Amino acid sequence: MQDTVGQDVQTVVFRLGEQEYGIDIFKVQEIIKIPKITGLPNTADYVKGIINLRGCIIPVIDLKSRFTKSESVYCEDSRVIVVEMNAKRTGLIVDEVMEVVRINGNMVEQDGFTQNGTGADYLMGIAKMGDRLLILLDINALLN
Amino acid sequence: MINSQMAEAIKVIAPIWVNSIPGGGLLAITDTKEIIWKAASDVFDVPSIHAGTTVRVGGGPYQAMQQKRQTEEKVARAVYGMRLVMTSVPIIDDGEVTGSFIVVMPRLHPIARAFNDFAPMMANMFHEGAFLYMSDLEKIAYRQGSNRFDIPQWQAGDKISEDTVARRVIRSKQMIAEELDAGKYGVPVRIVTFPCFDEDDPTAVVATFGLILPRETAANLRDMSNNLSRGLEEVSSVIQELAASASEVTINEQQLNGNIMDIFKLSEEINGVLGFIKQIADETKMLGLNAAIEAARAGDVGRGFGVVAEEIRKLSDESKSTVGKIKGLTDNIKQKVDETMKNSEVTLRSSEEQAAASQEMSASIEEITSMSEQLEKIAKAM
Repeated sequence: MQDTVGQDVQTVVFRLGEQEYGIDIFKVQEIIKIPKITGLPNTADYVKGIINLRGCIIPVIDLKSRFTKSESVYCEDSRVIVVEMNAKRTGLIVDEVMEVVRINGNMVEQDGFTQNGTGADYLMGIAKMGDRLLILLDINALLN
Repeated sequence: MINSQMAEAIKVIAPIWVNSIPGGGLLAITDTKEIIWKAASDVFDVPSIHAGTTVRVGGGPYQAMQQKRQTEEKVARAVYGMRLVMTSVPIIDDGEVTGSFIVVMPRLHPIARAFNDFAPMMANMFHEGAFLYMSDLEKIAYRQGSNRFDIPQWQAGDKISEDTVARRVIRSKQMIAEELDAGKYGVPVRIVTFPCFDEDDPTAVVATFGLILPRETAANLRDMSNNLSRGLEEVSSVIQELAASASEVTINEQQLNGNIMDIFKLSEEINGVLGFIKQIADETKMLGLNAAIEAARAGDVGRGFGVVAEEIRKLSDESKSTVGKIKGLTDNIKQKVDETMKNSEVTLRSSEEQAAASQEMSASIEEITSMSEQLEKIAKAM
């Protein structure tokens, strides 16, 4: 994103609880309703299991429990965002997918968030959209 | 037996004597053929007995002269127009009958004789007073009014006319009791008249005895009870109307309840439809988002399509928020319907209570009506 300052980047906006997040649209394959999830034994709490997406088996992660360590409850707005993560497809369970927005580079604050040691190295920056604050996530860093 | 000399003496004292007989009397002296002298009292006279009247063959004086002894003859009405008792004594001079001395008195029924004694007391024995009368076959013989009630137009000596109760009693030989309205004597009266029979011939009516009782109290009572039952009828019909309208209200209220329930169901149905619309909006939104993702991947070529996809997404959001608004409205409707139903329950209960109350009222009125009917019967029997 550093390379795209001054250019519009399309971002998929989703919600976890009250907070809105954004991920680069090019990382997103598609958005689906939460399908039947097959649980996997011996995995981290936020790894909900695997799903069968048109014949492809892909793992599903609950982003909210990934971030807050809390168990999330799915409602009718809950969705799975299928992303391409480290050249592998993964499903991210979110509370709601809001919209696709174009974010200009100069709307984004990057300083101070991505430094090592903050424990938030998957943060790419904060986009300001009026009075909304959008946390931009680095999907590749998310599962490392 | 007397002689001519004594007869002459009688002639002198006769005018005083006749007027001292209670009810009056008539004295006469005959020769062997006809009446030669007569003295009548002021109150009683037999006009057809006068000087020159022939001695009836077989009559009392005739017998007295024939048999030379005193006779007493009950003279039928047919003879002189009234019932008489004729006491005859022969006048005998030197063993030869020269005539007769006759005492004639009206022959009175025992009631007639006692009338002037009991009637004044009896007339005042009744609460509203009474009028008593006695008639012979032609005219009123005795009358007695009371302090409270009198019939001045009825006087002794008045002829009894053809349509009167007395006349009918004479004809039928039976007691007649009648109620007359105020038209005749100023107040409503009950008139009871009995026939009086001859002491010797129980089939012959000789007089009538009647009692006329004013019946103002009874008539008033009857009027009042009539008014009462008329009033009650009106009240009862009003109550019936009331009960009918109360049950109509109940029926309407029940119908209203049904309609309200229908509205409730309809808003539930709307909610069902809204769920479906929301589902479509959700699907559409996802379609829009996925279309935007595809458009982004297509690069510049997909730019236009991306815009369309975003518009679709926005529309779906709007649909969704509209669904929310409608849901709010239907919830509002349901809440109002709920309140309305509670209110109409209250109304329904009140109108049911009203119907019950008017039934109770109707029952009470029925009781009062039956009492007033009894009252009317009593008033009629009085």
